[in-house]
Amino acid sequence: MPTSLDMLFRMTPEILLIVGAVWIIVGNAFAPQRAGWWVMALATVAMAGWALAQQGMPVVPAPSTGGESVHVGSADADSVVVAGLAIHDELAQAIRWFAIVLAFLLVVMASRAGAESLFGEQLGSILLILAGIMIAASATNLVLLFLGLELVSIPTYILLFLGRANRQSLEATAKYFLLSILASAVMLYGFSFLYGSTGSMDLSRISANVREPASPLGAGGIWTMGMVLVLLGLSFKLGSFPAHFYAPDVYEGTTSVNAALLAVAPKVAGIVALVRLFLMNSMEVHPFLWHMFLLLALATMTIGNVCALWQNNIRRLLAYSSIAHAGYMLIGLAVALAMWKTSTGLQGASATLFYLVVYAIAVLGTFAGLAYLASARDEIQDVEQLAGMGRSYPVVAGALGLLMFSLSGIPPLAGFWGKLGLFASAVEAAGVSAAGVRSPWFLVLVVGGALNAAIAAAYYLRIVRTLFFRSGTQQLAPEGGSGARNVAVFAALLTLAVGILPGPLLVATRNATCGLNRDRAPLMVTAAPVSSGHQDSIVTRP
Amino acid sequence: MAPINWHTFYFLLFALTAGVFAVAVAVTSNVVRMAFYLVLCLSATAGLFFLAGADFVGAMQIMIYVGGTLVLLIFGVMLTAQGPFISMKTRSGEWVLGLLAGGSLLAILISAAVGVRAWRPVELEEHSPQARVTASRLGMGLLGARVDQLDQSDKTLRAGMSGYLFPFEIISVHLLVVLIGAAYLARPKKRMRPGEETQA
Repeated sequence: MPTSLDMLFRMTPEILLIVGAVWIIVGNAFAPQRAGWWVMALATVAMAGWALAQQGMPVVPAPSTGGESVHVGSADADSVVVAGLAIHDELAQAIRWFAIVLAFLLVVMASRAGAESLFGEQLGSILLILAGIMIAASATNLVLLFLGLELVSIPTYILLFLGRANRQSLEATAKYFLLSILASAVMLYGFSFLYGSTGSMDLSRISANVREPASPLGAGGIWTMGMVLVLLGLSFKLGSFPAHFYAPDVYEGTTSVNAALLAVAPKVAGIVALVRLFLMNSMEVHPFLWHMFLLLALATMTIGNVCALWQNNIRRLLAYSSIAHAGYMLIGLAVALAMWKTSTGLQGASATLFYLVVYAIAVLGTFAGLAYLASARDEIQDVEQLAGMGRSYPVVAGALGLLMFSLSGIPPLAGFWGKLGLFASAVEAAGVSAAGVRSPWFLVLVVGGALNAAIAAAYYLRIVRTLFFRSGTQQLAPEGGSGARNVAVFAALLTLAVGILPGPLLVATRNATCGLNRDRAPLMVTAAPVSSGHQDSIVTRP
Repeated sequence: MAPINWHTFYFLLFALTAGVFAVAVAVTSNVVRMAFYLVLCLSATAGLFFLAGADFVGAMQIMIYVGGTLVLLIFGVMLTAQGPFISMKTRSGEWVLGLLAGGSLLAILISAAVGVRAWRPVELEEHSPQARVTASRLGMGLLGARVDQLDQSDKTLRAGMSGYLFPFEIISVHLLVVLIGAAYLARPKKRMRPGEETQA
C-alpha cells in the first residue's frame, strides 16, 4: 500500500492550511479586498483547528502525585500514530496545536498589514509558515524535517520583501535571505553526514544505528560532525550564538508583524527540530553535545542581554532580547541532554517548551502593540517614541508594560514561571549525579542565567518607564488596526492568566515531552482498528 | 607493461578536474567565469558518483546542479550583474580568514573521514560498489512504491513505509511560493505603493 488514506486524514490540518493559503494568494490577485480574505484566512485556521481536534484534543491530565514519576501520561503510548514519514506523538500534537493558536493570533494581528493588493500574499505566507511548523513538528524523517523547516523559511523571504519598500527593508531582506540559505545549506550538509554515518533518513533508525557499537560506521566522527553542523544550521533559526548577528538588522528593517513572525515561527520550528534531532538521538553516546549546548546557552544569553542594554532603537532591543531568550531555552535543552532518561532531563525539556510558549505569546503581543501604535507610513523605531503612551493609550501601554514585566521574569507573570522552571532544572542537574554526569558547570549556568535576568530587567524596565513616566514629545497616530490591539491585550491577559495559574500549561508541556523518554528502539508498527474506521498504524514499542 | 586500471584512471581524471576547478572558483574574481568553473567542477563530481556506482545521485547532480541551477545562475549573472559586481575584489584579510575557516573545516573533515573504518581502502576491495543499480528503486520510492522494502513480510509494517510522495508534494508547495516571490520581485517598479520611497 503506497500511501494510505490514513495519512491524508492525519495531515488534514496542514493540507487545509496550504490549500487555504493558495486560495487566498490566487484569489487576492483577482479581487483585492482586505476584509474578505482576512475572514477567509481566519476561517482556514479555524477549519485546520477543527480538523486537528478530530485527532483528539491535547490531554491535560491531573498532575501526577508521584513526584519522581517519569512516565507521566505515557499510558497512551499506544496512541502514537505513524503516518508515512510523519509521527504524531504527544510532542507533535502539542506543537501543532500551538501552531494553530499562533496562526490565529498572527492573522488577527495582520488585519491591517501591508498594501491592499498584496494582502493575500501576506496572509498566505503566514498560513504557509505555520503549516511548515506543523510539518516540522511531526517529521520523523530528515527529508520531511528539512522540508518543514524550509516551508518556514521560504515564505518568510517573501513576507520580508512585502514589507515596506525602502532601503532598510531591502537590506533586511537580502541579509536574511542570504544567511538563511547559508544556514540551510550547512544544515543539509550535516544531514548528509547523519545519513552517511547511519545509513538511514529515519530519525529512530538513525539513533538505533548510532547506538549499535558493532556498526562500522556508527558513533564515529562523521556522525559527530553531522550533529555539529546541524546545530550550526539550526542556531540560525533559533537566533542563538554562532548565527545570531542577523537579527537586529532584520528586525529593524521590517514591519512589526513580520518581526513578530520572525521572532516566533523560526524559533518554534528550531526548538522542535533540536528536540527531535538531539533528544531522540541517543545521547548516552556523546556527552560532548550537552557541553556544547551549555556553552552556547551561556554565550547566547550574555551577548543578547549585554547588547540589548545599549540599544535606543526598540526593534533592535527586542531583537537582542529575542537572542537572549533563545539562550534561556538552550539551558533547558542542555539539562535535558545531560540528564536524559531521568526526571531531571524531562523537566529540562518541558521547561524549554514552557518557556517557548510563554516567550512566543509575550513577544507576539509586544510586536502587536508596536504595530498598533505605529502610523501607516512608519514603524516605531526609537524607545523615546513610546514616551507618554501610558497617558494617551492606557490599554495598549498597559498591555505592553505587562508583557515587558513578563519577559523580564517578574513574579506574578508567566515569564517568571518559565525562568523558574529552567533554572530549577539546571540547579537539579548540578546536584544530581545521574548517569555519571555531575557537573559544577550547571551551577555556572544558573548563576549566569540569574545575572542575565538581572541585566535584562534593566532594559525592559526602561521601556516601562518610558511608557508611563515620561511625557510624550510627539504625537503618534495609531493606525495599526484594532486587530493588532486586540492581540496585544489578549497576549497580556494570557500572560497574566498563565502567571496566576501556571498549572495547566506546566502539565501540558510536561505531557508533550513525556513521549520523548520512551525507548527509541526502531518502531514496530501494529494494526489496530480505530473508531473513525481508518486503519491506523499504531506504534508500540517493546 | 601492466594493463591500465581504467577505474583508477577515470577516478584520478575526475578528481583532478573537480579539485582544480574548485580551486579556480575560489581564486578567480570574475563572477561569470566562477559560474563556468563551477559547472566543470560539478560535472566532474557527477562523474565521481557514476564511478562509485551511485548512478542516481550522479544523474541528479548533472540534471539539477549542472543543468538547472548553474545555467540559471549564469543567465542571472549575465543579465543582471553590472560594473562593480561582475568582478569581486577580495582583500588579503578576507583571504586569510577564508583560508583559516576552510582549512580547519577541511582538517576536521579529513580526520573524520579517515576515522571511519569501513571507508579505509583495504576494506573497499571487499564490497565493490559497481554492481548496485540505485536509480529505479529510488524513483519508485519517490512515487510511493517502496520496492526496496518488498522483502518486508509484515503487511502493516509495510503500510507505515510509504514512499516520498508527501515530501514531493511539499516541494511543489515550496516551488509555488518561490514563484510568487519571483513574480513579485519582477514586477515593474512603478506599481509600488504610492507615497512610499521607491527603491534607492
